[in-house]
Amino acid sequence: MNLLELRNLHVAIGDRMVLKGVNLEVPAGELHAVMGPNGSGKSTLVQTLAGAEPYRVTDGQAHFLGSDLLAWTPEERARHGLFLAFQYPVEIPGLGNAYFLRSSVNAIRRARGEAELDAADFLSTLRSELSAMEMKPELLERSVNQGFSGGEKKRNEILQMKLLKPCLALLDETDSGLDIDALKIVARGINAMRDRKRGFLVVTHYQRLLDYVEPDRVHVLVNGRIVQSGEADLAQMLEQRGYDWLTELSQV
Amino acid sequence: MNNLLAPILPVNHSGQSTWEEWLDYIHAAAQSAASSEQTLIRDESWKYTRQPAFRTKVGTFATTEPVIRTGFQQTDEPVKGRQWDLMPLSRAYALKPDLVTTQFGRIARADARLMTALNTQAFKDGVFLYIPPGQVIHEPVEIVLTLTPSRAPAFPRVLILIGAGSECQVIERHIWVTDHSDEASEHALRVVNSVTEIHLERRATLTHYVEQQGDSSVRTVSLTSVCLDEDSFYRSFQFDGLGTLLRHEQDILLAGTKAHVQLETLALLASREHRDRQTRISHAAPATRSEQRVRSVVGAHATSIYGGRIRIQRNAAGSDAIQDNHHLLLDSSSRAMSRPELEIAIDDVRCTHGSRSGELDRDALFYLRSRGIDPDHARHLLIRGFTEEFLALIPSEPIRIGWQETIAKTLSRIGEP
Ligand SMILES: Nc1ncnc2c1ncn2[C@@H]1O[C@H](COP(=O)(O)OP(=O)(O)OP(=O)(O)O)[C@@H](O)[C@H]1O
Ligand SMILES: [Mg+2]
Repeated sequence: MNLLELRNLHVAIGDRMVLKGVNLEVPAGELHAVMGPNGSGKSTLVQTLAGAEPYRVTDGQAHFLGSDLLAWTPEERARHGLFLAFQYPVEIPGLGNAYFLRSSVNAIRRARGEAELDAADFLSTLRSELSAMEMKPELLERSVNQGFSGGEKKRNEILQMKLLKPCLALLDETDSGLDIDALKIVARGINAMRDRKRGFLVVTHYQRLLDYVEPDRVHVLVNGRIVQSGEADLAQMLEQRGYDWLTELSQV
Repeated sequence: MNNLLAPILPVNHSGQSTWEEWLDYIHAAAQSAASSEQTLIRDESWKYTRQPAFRTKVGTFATTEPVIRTGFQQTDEPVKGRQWDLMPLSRAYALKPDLVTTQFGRIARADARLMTALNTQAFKDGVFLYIPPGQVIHEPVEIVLTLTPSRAPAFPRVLILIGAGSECQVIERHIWVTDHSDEASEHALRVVNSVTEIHLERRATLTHYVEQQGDSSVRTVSLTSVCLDEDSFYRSFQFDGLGTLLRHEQDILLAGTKAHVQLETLALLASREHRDRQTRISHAAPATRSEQRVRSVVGAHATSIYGGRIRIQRNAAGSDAIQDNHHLLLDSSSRAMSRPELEIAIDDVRCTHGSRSGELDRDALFYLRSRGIDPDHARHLLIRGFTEEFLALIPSEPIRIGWQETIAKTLSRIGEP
């Protein structure tokens, strides 16, 4: 079964068309990478799927688990098992990270008809995930993402993914700005969650993440369209040749 | 001594008259101040708030004093073995006439402001707190001002003197609620005009918690006037809960070298409420430091006003002033105004001010919703985050927790249209 199916997806920001007919299928159990030059629309794609406001779908469809994804509010998408790791995680002054994480986990558990976790239960789960991500415990006391380093923010995103256990995770440049050790930790976090049911759509600029997290498919987004799809070796070829040779394919 | 601090009233009265005679004398002096040209000069800071209507009735109304409740059982008699005093002003006049007559009305001057003059000409008694030099008081001193069941205007008055090198915490609660808020027609309105004056001697430290709660039948004007001597530190945490109209003024005089003031305030405005906060900080000595952060959460159709004046005088070289003001608007009908006024007489100072007013951060709202949190709850978390930034600064845990609970309850009412 396909977790995600995009048909001819067109997305505009204001009057400007950014995605110009994206077709994509992510079957259950697979991890797909999306690569492409700056400004080609990668974040637009995953933000739109998560339901972000400024992005307006003008044409095409998006199905998630067979349902019309675009009909749902952002929180409904999350409750149905969609997760977005933000390229730029948002800072929220005054809202404690641990409290935020518990609110989120419980909002999703409630929607799934599961019992909410009390503070103590949650804290023990949280602590073990936190040490798996090699994050300092004080990051739980701070406000959400405030005063976090770039790498700490990205780890905090993966921490959320592990706590929320989505069916489909969209990871937007989670590897950018990570040092080698952090990259391995993040990769380990992703690999630990791979199974036959769960899918991933991983936006990245670099082969180095894909050295640790092996993709089933690689797609190249140029100027709002997927111009090439292939196996893992496509990423290696892009690393060597850049995007120029593909750009022509997008000029229609 | 700075001539701003000269007593307005001759002090040779001490010991020679009864409390009643002294009170008459003070009332008369304040009355002439209230009617003098100078006091009546139009005060620009009142531009956005209508003055409560008791102006026209000067001198003719009866007053009812607020009940003074303190954290201690008996305030009339000095407690044995205690090194400091908390008692009614009238009692202090009998026991420490020199202190009362020299300090009263010196910092909150009747000739400086009409509202202060009105308070000074009508108050019947007050609260007196005196910490002698060299005392470190660990247990917070609590002063609760509440209204007696009456409709007459109330004129609470508090005088706090902190001796050199002493340290203490004072909790001042102003609970301006009446039992007839349901029939809050214009003539049933209760007016409260309170004045708190505080003097910190050299190296003294005061942490001052002020909580105000009002209701729809009360109009409140209050002033806290503070004078800081050399190396002293005054920090206040002020929390305004609900109240249809509250105007709070803080006057700070940094009179001694290296004096330091920190003002942190949070106001919560339910729909249609009006809140006006004015701070005036004078840097009148070298290397003085002021920091203030004024925050408000503004419900639908409510109006939040902030005026902040900073004066850095010629003799205040090396001083540092920070002013920050943030109004969080909960609705497109919420209104906010900010008026910073900086008067800086010399170059060698640092002065920064910032003012923001706006609705909840959309990116933050989306981030929370993308984590499965519904929009109402997401909004609630963001507003709470805003109030937590204030609460996180509060050193006293019992106060922080108490206010946290009050804020949580209040916020659930603010959301209502
Ligand atoms: N909120 C927005 N408002 C206006 N323009 C936007 C907005 N978000 C994206 N854009 C524009 O849309 C285009 C695609 O941006 P997008 O962020 O999707 O690119 P990207 O492929 O993720 O790039 P990068 O690799 O730099 O992250 C860019 O030209 C960008 O400037
Ligand atoms: Mg991007």
